[in-house]
Amino acid sequence: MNDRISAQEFRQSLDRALSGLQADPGLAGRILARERGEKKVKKKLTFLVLAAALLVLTTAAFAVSQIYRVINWRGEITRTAELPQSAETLISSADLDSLADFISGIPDAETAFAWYEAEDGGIQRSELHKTQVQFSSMEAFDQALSGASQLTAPAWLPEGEIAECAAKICMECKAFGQYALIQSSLSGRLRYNRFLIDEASAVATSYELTLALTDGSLFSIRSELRESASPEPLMLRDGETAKKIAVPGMDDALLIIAADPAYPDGLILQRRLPEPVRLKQLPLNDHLPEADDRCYAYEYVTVWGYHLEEPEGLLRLFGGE
Amino acid sequence: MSHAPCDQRFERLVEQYQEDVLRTCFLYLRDKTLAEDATQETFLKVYRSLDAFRGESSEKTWILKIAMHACYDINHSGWFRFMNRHVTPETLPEPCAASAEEDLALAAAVMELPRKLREVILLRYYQQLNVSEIACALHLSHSSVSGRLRRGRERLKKALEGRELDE
Repeated sequence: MNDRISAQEFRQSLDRALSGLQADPGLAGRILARERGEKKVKKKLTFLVLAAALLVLTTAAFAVSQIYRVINWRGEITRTAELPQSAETLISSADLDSLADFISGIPDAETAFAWYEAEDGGIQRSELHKTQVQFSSMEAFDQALSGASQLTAPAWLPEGEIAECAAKICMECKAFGQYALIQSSLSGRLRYNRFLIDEASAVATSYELTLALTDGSLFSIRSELRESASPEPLMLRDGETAKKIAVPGMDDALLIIAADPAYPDGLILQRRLPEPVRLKQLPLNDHLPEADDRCYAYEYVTVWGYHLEEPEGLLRLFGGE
Repeated sequence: MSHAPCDQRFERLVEQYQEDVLRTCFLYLRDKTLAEDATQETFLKVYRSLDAFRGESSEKTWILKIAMHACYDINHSGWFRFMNRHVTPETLPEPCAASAEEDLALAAAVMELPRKLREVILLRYYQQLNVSEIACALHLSHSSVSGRLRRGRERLKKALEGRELDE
């Protein structure tokens, strides 16, 4: 074997290796047709577009053509938004069930992305399963979270007997590591990547806690780190009201009061972290990290309480009055 | 139709450079679907800015510059961050032409380079641009391009067990 590779040999070698990648003979025609306004070019969705579509999908489930009111942290309405249910963005319920089944079957130690490809090659729906640790008691959850000051645990638990506690702490690390690939495959139209990150190198970036009490009340608490502040914390449903309140340790806090008892009351909190949280690089990498510069500077907490006697009871969970 | 000369020029550019752009984007992004997206995005921009192309660089350098930007945008999207991009020869598209083991090993080694080194190596050795053209395409100084090329060659030499690129 020759020890030196000329530019010409480099080019020829890569062309042979990539000979499976062929030009699309219809590309110029599709672009010209689109630019003349004849028809749309098939465009595959990036994750950012996908996230927006996902928002529509998830809210559409309970919001058929409703007008939502978007509010700021003072509880003032900043704008309205219509989120109609769009038949063309929905995928079949069987596909959604399949996606949910796939994600629910992922072991805690793995991170997985799963998504559906539409007939036109676009991405219609995706789910992320983060590496996580699950808990079934408040004691174990509190103990695990005590080492993660970037996430705020409830300061107080609701009075009454806890019938069920389910909690999980989710973790992330830099996205450019050479993670151990478990599987990257296609099942029907479902595509997925499953891989392992090193738990010891991961940073806790969110938690979810659900508490069901024997009196029928239920609390769902979720905290997540965000890269920037959220100026518009929430969209209000019809009849809901928002009230700015003070909660110790938080920069912003809103109490959401539902008009209909079928819906939960809420508490939305935000704080700037004393120290930004940066993700770690896996030690098993043997080359320089690439540009995954995610830096989390804010914590955003949502609390929803179902069947509460008084919505103000939510405040006590985080030390407010 | 009044657009015909412009359209003919565009069709020629797509015919002449599409495969190059697609393969370069694949080597950059390490994903076939994303490379197809980047290629489509590249030629949309080419079409829209065809009138603004003043010939200050070659057509090839201009198109590759647009392609690099398209890849860069995808590289910084949230979606891309979670893609598993560990590359082995087995993850390359099935070759149509006969390819030797060292062809696949070279492709995998290039794709495993850090992004900043990968892009200069691709433009220099795959697209055979000179240092000035690479500097123009990537908005870098000559010395930055030269430094990255040197580091890229060193990395490849290590990965290819002693085989090295000509300077």
